[in-house]
Amino acid sequence: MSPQSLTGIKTDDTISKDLSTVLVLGGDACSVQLVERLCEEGLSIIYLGDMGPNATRVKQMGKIQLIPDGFLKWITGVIGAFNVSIQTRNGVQGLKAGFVVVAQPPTILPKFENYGVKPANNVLSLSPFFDDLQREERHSKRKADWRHIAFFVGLDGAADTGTFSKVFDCIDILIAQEQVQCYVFTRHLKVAENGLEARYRRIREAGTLVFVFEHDCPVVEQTIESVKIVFSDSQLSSEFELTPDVLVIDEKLRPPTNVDAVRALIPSSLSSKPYLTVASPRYPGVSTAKVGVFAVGAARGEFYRPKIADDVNSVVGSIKKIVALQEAKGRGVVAVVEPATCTLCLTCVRVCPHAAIEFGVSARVDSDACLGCGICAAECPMQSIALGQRKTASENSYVIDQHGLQVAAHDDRKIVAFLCEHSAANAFCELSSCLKAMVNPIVVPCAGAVGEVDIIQTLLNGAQGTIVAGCFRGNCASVYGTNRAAHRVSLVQEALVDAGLTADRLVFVPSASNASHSLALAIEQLLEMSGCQHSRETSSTSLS
Amino acid sequence: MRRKNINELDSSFKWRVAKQPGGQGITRCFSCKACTAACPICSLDPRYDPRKIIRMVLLGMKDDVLTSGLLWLCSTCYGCREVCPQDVRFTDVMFAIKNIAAQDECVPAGLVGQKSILKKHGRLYEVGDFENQKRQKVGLPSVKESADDYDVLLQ
Repeated sequence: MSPQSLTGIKTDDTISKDLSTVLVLGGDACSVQLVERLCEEGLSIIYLGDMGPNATRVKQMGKIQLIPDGFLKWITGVIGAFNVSIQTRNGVQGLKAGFVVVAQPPTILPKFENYGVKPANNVLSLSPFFDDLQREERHSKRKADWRHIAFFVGLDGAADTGTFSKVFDCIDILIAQEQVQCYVFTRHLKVAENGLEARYRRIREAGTLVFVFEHDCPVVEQTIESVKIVFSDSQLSSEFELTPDVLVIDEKLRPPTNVDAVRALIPSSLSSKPYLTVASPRYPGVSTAKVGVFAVGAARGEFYRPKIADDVNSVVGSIKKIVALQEAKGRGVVAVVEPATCTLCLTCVRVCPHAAIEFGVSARVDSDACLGCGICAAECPMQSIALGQRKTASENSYVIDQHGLQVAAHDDRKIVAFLCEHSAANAFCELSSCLKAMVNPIVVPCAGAVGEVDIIQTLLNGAQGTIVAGCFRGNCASVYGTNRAAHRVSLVQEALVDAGLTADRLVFVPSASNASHSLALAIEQLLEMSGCQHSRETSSTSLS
Repeated sequence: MRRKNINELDSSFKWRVAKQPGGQGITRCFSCKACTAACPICSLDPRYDPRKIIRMVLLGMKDDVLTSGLLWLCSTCYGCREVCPQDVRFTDVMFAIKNIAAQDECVPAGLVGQKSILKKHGRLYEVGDFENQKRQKVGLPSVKESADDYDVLLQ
């Protein structure tokens, strides 16, 4: 079987890129907002999902292809050349897109079971109640007697600002009606969000009673026609019972579940399940590990609706930045494959956290999708991948960058430190000058780019000690680069012990830009060790 | 304490308090307990707790608030008003609640008696011939009782 038939991807290096089409996986008002903003930027849109009543208005805004009843079967490719297959009623449709934005609404799971109640006429979950209210508001129904509406929000210990904002939406409508008393029962008041605190204050001043329970939660006694809440008010420390006209139960907001096709596109997103984005401070907001794929709102764990406008702006900004970068002919440092020695073992395809490597007759790194972390270069068993610096802006050729290993070769009195440019390199700058003088720093794009061979080479060159300093677990810009570095260091340590040498001159140090102490401590320990164990050090260097 | 049924309480009571002059701040309370800490009465009699009184009003426990007698313990020192971060103005709220208590005739008998003395004599202590003779002895002018102003005020 030829490689081509395995993937169906073009194998030559000159695939045409189109950065003007955006595939939006949508379904609610937030994604419509996104489409409007993208249209303003002159991008053409493929919108998969039901737009509802907005469809006719949005259609006139620009080049928009609406697929209201489609289902995303699979998606492959890299930025600028995503191949999309959509199942519609009329059969399978193949499309091409430059970017992918996942903006699907959250999955809503009512919490009836968590509170031990059954849905009934007077026990509703939040979304249907809100929809009813909005309908009711138009022909405002009034009753002679006081109505008591109770809300359970996060009494099981889990609530988010999105739920509270929806509850406040309901209460805003209710307090405009006459003779309605609202009660909010909660365990944690999660209102620390821009604008939400003010709304909380407003509903309270409008007479809503809020009961916060720390330990003993209210007990619900449900019969066929009524539901009774028995609880103790912590402030008056006395027992109350309430028979509300309606008991509204909150809902769990979970990320959309139908994004498996996109998840398959970014294998490293499996580690950050359930969200598509990387749970790392180096990926603020909407970017996923794969360049050109973005997640907005629920798909990235943002359920507070007013904030989704920020997400939308962030996506538009990121797309503009990528387009500008493309016009300036790409990134500085990317991985380059030597096709002559590539044996198509696909190690690089498996390890790339950014899913930037495709394969045909040899592995091929997409220079737009590659973030230059160098993990593939360190993992390649044939040494046929290296990080390359683009020679000139116009040419598509690269100078292989050895990340300063030659420098290490000629300085045998020092400690060699491989420093991740995202964290450890900054931490190193904070060190005292006398410590810095003892270290030969080598800045690498990611700790995962340091291969076993590089580490052993420094020891062979007679370094007093070798430090591989990456980010803390979960902080890595290349998702699991730092985990790989730590693993690799432990492998080399084992190999050293097997060879009858000591492994304590090689250490892996997790660090952060603002945490230079761990790096300083490691350097001091190595210096101390080489001072006391001078004889052993000379023997091991003579061995090498 | 017996379990209270909120449905039987008076949800509109807090709005009645809020409509009285000075009572507007009642719904602003977020139960920080600063008033309780500042209250000199509360340190003497823990049953009188401004925060709890506000909570009872908000819950609509009208009868408990008006008939418990705690209402009349307030010394109007304005300590609670000084410390309140939410500008509830609890002393003014107390006046509002007391006004409602007067409207609903929930005032303790002693206070009703005081009112009638005030209305009759213009002061809380009756000044009769005996007192005026004593005043004369130390060279003070005699006092003539007149309740005209209070009549107007207490209408």
